[in-house]
Amino acid sequence: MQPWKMPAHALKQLYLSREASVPEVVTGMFAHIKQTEPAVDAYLTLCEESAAAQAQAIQKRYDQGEDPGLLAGVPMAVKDNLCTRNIRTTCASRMLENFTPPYNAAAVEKILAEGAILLGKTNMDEFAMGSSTEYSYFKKTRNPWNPQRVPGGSSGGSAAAVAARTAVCALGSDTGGSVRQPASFCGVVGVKPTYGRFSRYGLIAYASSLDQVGVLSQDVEDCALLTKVLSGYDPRDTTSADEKTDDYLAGLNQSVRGLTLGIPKEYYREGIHPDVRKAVEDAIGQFQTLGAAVKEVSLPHTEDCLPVYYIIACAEASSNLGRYDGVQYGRRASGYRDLSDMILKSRSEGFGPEVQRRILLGTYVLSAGYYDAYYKKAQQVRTLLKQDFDEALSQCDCLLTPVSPVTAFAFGEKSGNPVEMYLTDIFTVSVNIAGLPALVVPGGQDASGMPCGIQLVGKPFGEAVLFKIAHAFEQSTPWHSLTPKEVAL
Amino acid sequence: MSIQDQWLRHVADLAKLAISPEDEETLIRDMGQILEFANRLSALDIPETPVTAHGRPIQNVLREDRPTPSFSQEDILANAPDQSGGCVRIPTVI
Repeated sequence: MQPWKMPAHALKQLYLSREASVPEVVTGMFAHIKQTEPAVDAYLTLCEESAAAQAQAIQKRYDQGEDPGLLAGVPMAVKDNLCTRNIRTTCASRMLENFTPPYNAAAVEKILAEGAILLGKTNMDEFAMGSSTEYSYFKKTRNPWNPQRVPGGSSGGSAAAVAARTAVCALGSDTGGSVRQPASFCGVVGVKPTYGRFSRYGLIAYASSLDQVGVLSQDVEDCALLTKVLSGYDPRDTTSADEKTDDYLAGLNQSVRGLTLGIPKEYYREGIHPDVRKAVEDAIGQFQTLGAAVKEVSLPHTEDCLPVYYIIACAEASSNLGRYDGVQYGRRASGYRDLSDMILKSRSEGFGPEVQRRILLGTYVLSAGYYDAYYKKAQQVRTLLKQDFDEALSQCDCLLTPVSPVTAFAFGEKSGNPVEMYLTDIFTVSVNIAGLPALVVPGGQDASGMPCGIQLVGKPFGEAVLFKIAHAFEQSTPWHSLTPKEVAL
Repeated sequence: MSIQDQWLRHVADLAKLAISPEDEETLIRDMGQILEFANRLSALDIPETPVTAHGRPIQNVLREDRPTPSFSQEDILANAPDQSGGCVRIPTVI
């Protein structure tokens, strides 16, 4: 038995029934990480010593007859843009290469309070800007299903770790699809909740009106469990939602009979790979078999999503990343003439090419003479996009869409052309623009055996409905139980 | 220097980024492509449509003005690139 490869809910049962101990699982997990990591490179930092100490402490509480928390003894990975106290947090950037936060992000606090074991910090695109994890300053993470392919991004390290079972589950962040697209590419489950559902306190900001912490897991039940742990109001994040949280586990194992799934007709466009199209069509068929109704809906401004996203995200990034000046923390260049030169050199050395490109674009769209044409216009179109989703979701319980027009692509295939890379985000960015919850569940494989997810998009704060629908699909299809052959499992 | 070079240097100056001469050409090409793709929005004539700054309608979030503990000076200075006498040190400004 290799319990460290099990989902959190199953592992927890083993602990409670004394069939496994936390130190034994954590030791087994690190042995598996050491064996697998050279082929995957999902982690930037490993915390073996502190994880072992945490494991002992949690086991002691189990031994005393306590239930030490919803995630007690569950080995988890955390994306390296979530602050972890006394553990280096780099955002995969040279700028923060030596940054050690004095505090934990709210999401990290919450998983630790429920007894999760922190295994380490995962690789990502620098400052979460990218769709392949190729823009990390430190290294490339390989897709556990095929080392020639990218894991997706920007939470590529977290998705690859869960797929390779070098983490039971993981935290990521999603600004335009950064949890959902790598979940699809690596064959795992991913959720981006409604904007405001999870606190952003301690999540290093990229585009604040779009950023959300998200979860990557082996199955829907774990995703629901983690959503239960992470939900709730946090006064330290002014955009945190003071809304009722549901019991996300309560709806699992319920029938989807009588529910309606909306299929946005604009999403069946040119450029969508036939294998991706087939996965979504098969999913539609499966939902009908399960008794759900399917209805065509319309999102007329779909083609406008990408320009709106890249204008808003880059504008917010140029403002958020203004704080990196080499003064209080982060990289400070050497050999400068004066303060202004120090700031210029520190930023130019600290940020990689994609981050610089987005800062420049954001600065441009906010600059005098261009603000109305780009930034204001994008915010007006954002209103139209939100109205499209309100209208479509008024006719159904959730939307069913592809996640990305393609499955995991090869290294270098898109990194040379930013626009081509941006086009892979077309089905995910709109959800962030509208602030809606969305969940990705494995839905098939392409001809070469690479995983392909399907996306369910819900109403604001309608996560519970998404878990119910996704669970019914998952339990009636084989896809979530497949694991990569390339990694010793 | 072409208009595009001047434009790029102006934006880079605002963003406090130094563009190396070898990167200039690639950046001008990439930014041109990105902006061309952003220009499809100019076809939409929507002067009356209100703007949306956030996914959810939230405004004027206030909290009670209650003192709480802050980080220690030691914790904050641990990440400072240069420090002296309990302060972050920077080059002379005046």
